[in-house]
Amino acid sequence: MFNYVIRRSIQAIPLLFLISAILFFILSKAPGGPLTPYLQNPHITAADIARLKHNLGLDRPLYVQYLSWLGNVLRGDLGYSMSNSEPVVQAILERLPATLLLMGTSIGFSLLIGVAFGIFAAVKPYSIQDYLITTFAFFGQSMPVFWLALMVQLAFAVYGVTAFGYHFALPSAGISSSDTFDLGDRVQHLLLPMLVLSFLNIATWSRFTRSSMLEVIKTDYMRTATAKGLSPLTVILRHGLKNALIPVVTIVALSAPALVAGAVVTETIFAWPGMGRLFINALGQFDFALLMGYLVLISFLVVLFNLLADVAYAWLDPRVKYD
Amino acid sequence: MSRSRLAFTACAALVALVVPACTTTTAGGRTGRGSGSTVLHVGTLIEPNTLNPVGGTLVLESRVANLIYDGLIRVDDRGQPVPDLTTVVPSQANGGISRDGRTVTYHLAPNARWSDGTPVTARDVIFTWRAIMNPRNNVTTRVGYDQITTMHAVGQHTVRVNFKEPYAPAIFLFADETRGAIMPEHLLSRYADLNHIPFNRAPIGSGPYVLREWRHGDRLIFDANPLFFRGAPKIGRIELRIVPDTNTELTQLRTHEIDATTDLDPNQLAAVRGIPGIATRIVSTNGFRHVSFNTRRPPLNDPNVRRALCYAMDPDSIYQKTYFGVGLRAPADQNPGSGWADPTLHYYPHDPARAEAMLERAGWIRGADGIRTKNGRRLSIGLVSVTGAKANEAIEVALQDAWRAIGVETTIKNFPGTTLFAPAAGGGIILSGNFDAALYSLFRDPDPNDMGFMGPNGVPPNGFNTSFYADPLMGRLQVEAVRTFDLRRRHQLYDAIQRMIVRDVPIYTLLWVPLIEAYDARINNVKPSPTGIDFWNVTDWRMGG
Repeated sequence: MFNYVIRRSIQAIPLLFLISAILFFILSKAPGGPLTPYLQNPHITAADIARLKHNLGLDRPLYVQYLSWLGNVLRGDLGYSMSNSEPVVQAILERLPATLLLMGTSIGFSLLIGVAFGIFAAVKPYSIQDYLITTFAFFGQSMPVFWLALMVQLAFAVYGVTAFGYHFALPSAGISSSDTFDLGDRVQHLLLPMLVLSFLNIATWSRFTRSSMLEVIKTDYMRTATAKGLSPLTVILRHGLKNALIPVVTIVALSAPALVAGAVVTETIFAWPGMGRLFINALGQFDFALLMGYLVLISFLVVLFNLLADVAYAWLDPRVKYD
Repeated sequence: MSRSRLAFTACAALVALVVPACTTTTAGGRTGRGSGSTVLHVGTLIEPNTLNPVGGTLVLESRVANLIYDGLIRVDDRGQPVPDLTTVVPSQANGGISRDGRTVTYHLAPNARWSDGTPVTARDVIFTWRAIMNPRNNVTTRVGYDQITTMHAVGQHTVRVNFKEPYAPAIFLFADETRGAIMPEHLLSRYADLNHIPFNRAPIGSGPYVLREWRHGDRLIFDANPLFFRGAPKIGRIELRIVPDTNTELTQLRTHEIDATTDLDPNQLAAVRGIPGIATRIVSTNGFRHVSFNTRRPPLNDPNVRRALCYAMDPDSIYQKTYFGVGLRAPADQNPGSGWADPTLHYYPHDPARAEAMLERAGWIRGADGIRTKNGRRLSIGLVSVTGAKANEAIEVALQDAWRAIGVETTIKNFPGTTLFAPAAGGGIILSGNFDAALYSLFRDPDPNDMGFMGPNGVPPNGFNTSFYADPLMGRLQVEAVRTFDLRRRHQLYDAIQRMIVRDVPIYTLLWVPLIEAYDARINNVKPSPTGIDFWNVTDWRMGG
């Protein structure tokens, strides 16, 4: 197992270099390239373009540009983000906490609810509770996020709920109401985007849990556990769930890079200052250094979590062996 | 069992934590809170890239610069220059512009100070010009500033600017709108270039507000500058909240989480007008949404084909359907809101029969499928625009229908802005002339000078004349128009240029891009400028009853 992890890690190094080179060449060859933000000015001249090219080092051969970028990255310098007026590393570190908070709570909440729903549906297949959960899952999977987001804003922020003589309303967007940190305020701002993001995940993960749980329930060891006189809850949770979760763990691990990558649509609609918006803004402005930094970071995480998924698989299922 | 109960308890605790707090968020007025100072929350769709105007590329950055910095002049709600740091706008009448038109003299307000307390002097103005001209700085364009030969300080507060030749647009130089806000020499002269310095996100200016904090992706917080030379503004704090979605902006106006925004969509106007306590304003900006016809490439190199396309369009119907009748219109390249549009010019009337007759005369005969051909060539044009802009798509379809009716086939191809506007060498669609008609908006400077995007001097790669229309007579008129300070003569010249545009239709302006602005009705004295900047008179804003 240890050897396997070492071997996979070593294999990942050339892979990451290759990914970074491909990203660099594609982004450089995109029309406009790093000069794009300057080009929409009606007064720009050919001499202006030549001067800006020289300043940004774009008049050097492409491989020289790549090697110089790579050299800087290996020394921990991801370059300067034009669209944030600060170094790329700093720009990413500023946005990371907001995204970790949003994606972390959302993934945690979805996992809790999604797995619970999956079990409930599987325990009594084709019952009312199964049909209800299945309907919810199909609804959740087919709902466009932007529509759902608008609806929850309307319901919970614009109209709100009046009950027990109080009017409850949540903030529609943003990360805080005041300029100073306040935990209650932060949680209120978090709720709507977190719920919207969780919707799809709950739908997907409950379906996975249900189908995998259904298979497990039919196995001999489950019947044995019941025959031993264990309570139904212990049978389902201790003997069933651990085995049923194996495919779910893989799916969850593969969506884990989103913890850092953020969610573009949700963050945009809810004005959440996270990584998804950092990326989409960099793309719109063609902020070359930031785009490269973000994409290479996410590529690294995808490679990493793929490896972790494989390791977790072997750990959960003794029948799986790597050497 | 114990675990699931624990989870339930945790959920209940979360709800308990949140719900009591919920009741506090609904209160509408967040103004007048605390020590009696007023906070204004302004929503903005996009965020500045930099707070240093020397390296700026966005209109929004000029708008924010209006808060932090001062120009020598600023542009008022009629598009006219009014004093900012200078005590009087120079003219030949007041002696500020020399008889030969080559020297402009500015007298700075003697009490102007940087927000760190240092006085603003003539040296700062000269430093600003040097920074713009410094080839190491990533400045987009130096148009106008490159006409200056030398600058001299005459004492502390007078600066004399010498031009190569008489240059009428000089009056709009050194303004936020022309990326010429005055920069502090004492803080910046030590840098070889200004591209990557900490000042760009933590600036010091002389303007009415000082930046307190910039939380990237979330908000910019500005406090009234107590040292501001025209007196501290009445609104104690302005928060620019970044809300990157227009629907969310509308929602936040409804919930009064924001008090103002300037970038709503025309189709939201009815909804905004229904919000109690919110007043709306429509401002016509210096951006014109137009169709650029490629006058170099057949079939649109024939002016008669271009005119036929104009007669085929129904400008009123397009205006109503896609812009809901919002925004000013003028068919050429001068803004009717600035006073430079020739009021005698009109759109081509909707006359498809005349359009068809013109095409017949030009030899384009209808084929079996209804599309005209000439010498075996179909009358087919490619219309390009930016992807993702709903208004553009609606206009494109309207044009396609109108032109189909007179036997012209239109193929719509949209590209991301980065591809559409890239330089020719980078495979850009428009600047390499690889299109027949292009629909997009161009934002121009407040001066009527249009050499950068119209006529022979602006043909790519020397400018942004995307119609490639290069009539030498237009070039001569443009040169004379930047050399003369006589307003009547300038008007005659730009009227003549606009008549040439309407006659030969290198471009067809659909409308002047309107800003749909919404402000809390209690804020008085908001008078947005056609440059797209509402903060030019922010010191006069106050909260009414």
